[in-house]
Amino acid sequence: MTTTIGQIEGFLALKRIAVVGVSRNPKELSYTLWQELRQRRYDAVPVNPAASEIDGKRCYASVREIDPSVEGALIMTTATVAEQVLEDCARAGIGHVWLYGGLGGGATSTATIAAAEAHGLDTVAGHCPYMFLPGTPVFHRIHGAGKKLTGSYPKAG
Amino acid sequence: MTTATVVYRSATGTTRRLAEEIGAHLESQGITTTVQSVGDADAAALARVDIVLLGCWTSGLFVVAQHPDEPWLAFVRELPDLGRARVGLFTTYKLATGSMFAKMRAAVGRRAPRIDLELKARDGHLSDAGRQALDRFLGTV
Repeated sequence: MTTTIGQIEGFLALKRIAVVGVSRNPKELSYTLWQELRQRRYDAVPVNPAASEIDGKRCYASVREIDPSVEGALIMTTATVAEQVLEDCARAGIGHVWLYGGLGGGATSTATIAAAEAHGLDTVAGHCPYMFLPGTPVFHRIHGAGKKLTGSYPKAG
Repeated sequence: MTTATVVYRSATGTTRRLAEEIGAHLESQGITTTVQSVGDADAAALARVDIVLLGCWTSGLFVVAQHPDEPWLAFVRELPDLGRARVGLFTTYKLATGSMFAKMRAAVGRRAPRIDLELKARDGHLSDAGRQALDRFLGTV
């Protein structure tokens, strides 16, 4: 599965997004990325079965519990957990998913990519949303530039 | 009753911490204060507030080209006329604020005819000097 810039732009054009695997720890990337999306006026809904509330916002145990439903899900769990999340997304009628690609692969694996395809989900596989947010901090722009140099940056399409 | 709203844009949590400390200080002075991020704040509602403090982390290339980032600018573009409010700016930074306040002032533009405070903190904590600057600012309200 090859992710295109068009898919990434399509995902980031959504308004109501579940962020699955948000940590309660403000120092964790999942927490700061969730806050970043909120500050950019996304209706970003936290999902973490170990928390009922994060930063005063109701936190859901599963994307299937979110009402009204979300348009997309950013999955920041391990790949093992992500397989179940993908099934939940499909059952909840969520058509767009982003398998976060962190160190060690994050939620992206051969199995999760295959599962996303089997469910017919429009999938961004790998990559970090920070790289594609308008006016993102220089660190993330450098990250994107590095990916361009190595040829792993998404292509137009 | 004097009311204040502190609106922050924070990338890592440092500017949020400063906003919360500013808010706590305002509350300690008997001012009814709301602290919100640019994602949660209602820009139009600021027209009815006595004190507005707008904060953003310092983006830039280490010591040059410092500027507020896009989410803060997007919020500022939605601001109403703040002519009835006292307005202040605050930022957090790593090495230098450089052109940060000038860029923030330019973005706010005519929406706030007077900006009476520029407050900065490297670590996101309100220092004694910052607290005194805030008190001087409050003295003008």
